Amino acid sequence: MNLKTLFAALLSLAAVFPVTAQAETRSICVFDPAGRSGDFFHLMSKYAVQASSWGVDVEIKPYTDEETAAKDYEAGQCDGVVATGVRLQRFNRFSSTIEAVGGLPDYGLLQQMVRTLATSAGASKKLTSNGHATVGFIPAGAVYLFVRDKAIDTVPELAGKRIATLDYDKASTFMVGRVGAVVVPADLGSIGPKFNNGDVDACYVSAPAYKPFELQRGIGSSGGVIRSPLAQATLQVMLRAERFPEGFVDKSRADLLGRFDTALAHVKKAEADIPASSWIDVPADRQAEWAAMFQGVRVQLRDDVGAYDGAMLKVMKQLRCGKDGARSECAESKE
Amino acid sequence: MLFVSVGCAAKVDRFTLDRVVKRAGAIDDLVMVCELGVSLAHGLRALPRNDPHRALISAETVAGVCAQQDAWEAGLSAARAQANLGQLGIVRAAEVTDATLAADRHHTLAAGRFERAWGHLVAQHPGIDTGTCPSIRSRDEVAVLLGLVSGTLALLHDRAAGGPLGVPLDRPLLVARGAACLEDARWWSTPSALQAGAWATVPGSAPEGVDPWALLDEAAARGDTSGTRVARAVQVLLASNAGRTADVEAGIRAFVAVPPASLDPEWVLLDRYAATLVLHQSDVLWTAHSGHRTEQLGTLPSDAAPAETGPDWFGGDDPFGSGVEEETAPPESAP
Repeated sequence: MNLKTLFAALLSLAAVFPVTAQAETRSICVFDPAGRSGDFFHLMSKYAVQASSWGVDVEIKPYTDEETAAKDYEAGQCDGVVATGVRLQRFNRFSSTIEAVGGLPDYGLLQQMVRTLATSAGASKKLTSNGHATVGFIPAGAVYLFVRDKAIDTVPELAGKRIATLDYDKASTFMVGRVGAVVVPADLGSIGPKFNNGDVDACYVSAPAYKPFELQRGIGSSGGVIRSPLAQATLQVMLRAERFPEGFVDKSRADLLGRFDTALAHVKKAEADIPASSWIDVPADRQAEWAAMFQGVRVQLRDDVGAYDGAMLKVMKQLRCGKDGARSECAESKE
Repeated sequence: MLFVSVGCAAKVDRFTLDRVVKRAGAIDDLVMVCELGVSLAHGLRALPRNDPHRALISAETVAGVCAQQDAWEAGLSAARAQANLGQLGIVRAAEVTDATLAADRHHTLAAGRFERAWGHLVAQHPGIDTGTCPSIRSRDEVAVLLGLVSGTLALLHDRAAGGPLGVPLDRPLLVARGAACLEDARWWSTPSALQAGAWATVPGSAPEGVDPWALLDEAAARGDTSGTRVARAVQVLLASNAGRTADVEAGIRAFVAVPPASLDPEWVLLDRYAATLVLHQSDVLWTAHSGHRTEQLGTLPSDAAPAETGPDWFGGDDPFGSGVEEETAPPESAP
């Protein structure tokens, strides 16, 4: 073999067995109120490591401001985003509807729904809208009503009460108005101070906000937390599907589904931080009253406001009625 | 040591603060001092009948620094593997995962040590975390400062490891209240940096109309001229945690701009620690960008200007041809 032939042979070998392969680099804007040290960022960093085994370098960027994360994603500065369903509603109404008021009253149902979404071929199509693919749902905690007065535990008692309401959340604004309460516009930064200072009678957040916002100050000795969840907050992982190789979306869905329990454990730990004496248990007959109100809100938000997706609401109802067929809604066909 | 072994807790405290800490403060060797803390902590706890809290705040804090260094090294290994290893796929993912798991273990160890230091602070000065400033003797203030810094670091390291210790998320605000109990100017504006940092970390916790990030920068700037740059390091650390890369870079530049001659030789150890914190954040930026740590603190990946290429005199063509068809004749072999 002369030199020329040898060189050509080496070149062809190099083509077959490349010494190095260059990974594609993609970025995801990750909203976590605690930044780089938050549980959601930590979870996403593990996902990013896993993604590197699929041939994609995923750079995750921490954001402590959710709207900035969503806007940077919208502007194409990130190839993916992690933010709450309500914040990502503008990209995909179907996936954001998982946070519908009263839609999934417990974590067992949430888990079933998330598993169904991650594995159903029909859901897979609906989870992609205009190229935005929702690939994961990370539980951020059931949203509870925190009240400064324990006596407020029924729907009629909310009438006239001032409730701190996230101003970008159409569903909540609508629901607060429907029960006759007064909407006091708030954002994540002002909910805690408004509640603790007595500017509002109630606010709604999930348990992980209890400690950092020091909501025990607003609860004091007379207030509490109504144990009946208003909704399930989720952080949703959304990708611009075209920016990732084929199969990446499916692999992401499977991977993130596997991280659901870890995230839920953090939420449950945060719920355990709320003293037992602060919880307000709603009697069964009153729960039916809340459920009826939630149903009315969901239907109106689907039909009149266009904020909720009907297909998602229908599956949520199937889950609720699968668990408890005695619910009055099960005999109806409103959802 | 003999003195320590026969002393009561108060004597052990005094000996540790007035002799060991005071002299260690002037040592320009962080590793030596942190290893001293690792060696002494157990002995300090075991010898007197009651815990010498002030001595243990110092010992656990510096012991935490050792574990912190290990956690950072493992974190950089993970980032380096992510950036450098050419062979894609499961092998690289395993490499990154292994380094990340190692980092988690060291973060947990560091969090435990810093958390114990915080616990000793609260035990020694009950009420310091509630906004009711206890009486603190001037010569004990250094232990209080270390305890407050430890309280913050305990949370950051615990979250970095995924929260195995469950350090409560209200910690930043407790630290902020304790920081108000120290004389700001005496401790190089570190107390006001900790306070502003807490407000920046917890949405809505800052007094109305206050921009906590601006306040943090002001505290860091005052610290720069005080002889010990701990406040600047706090700013860089928290900005990195929040993903505020521009603030991190500006903080690093400001840190190196302080003339060495202006540093306080009595507290060179704390300045050295601040330098280590800042260097690590610089290493994080460099490793993600170039796959290696900082060559010279103060230079940043974003400094790199595009290479000067000059005008293209060849109109885009390769003046030596494509290199495929033509073959250079081999040189005449030497006689």
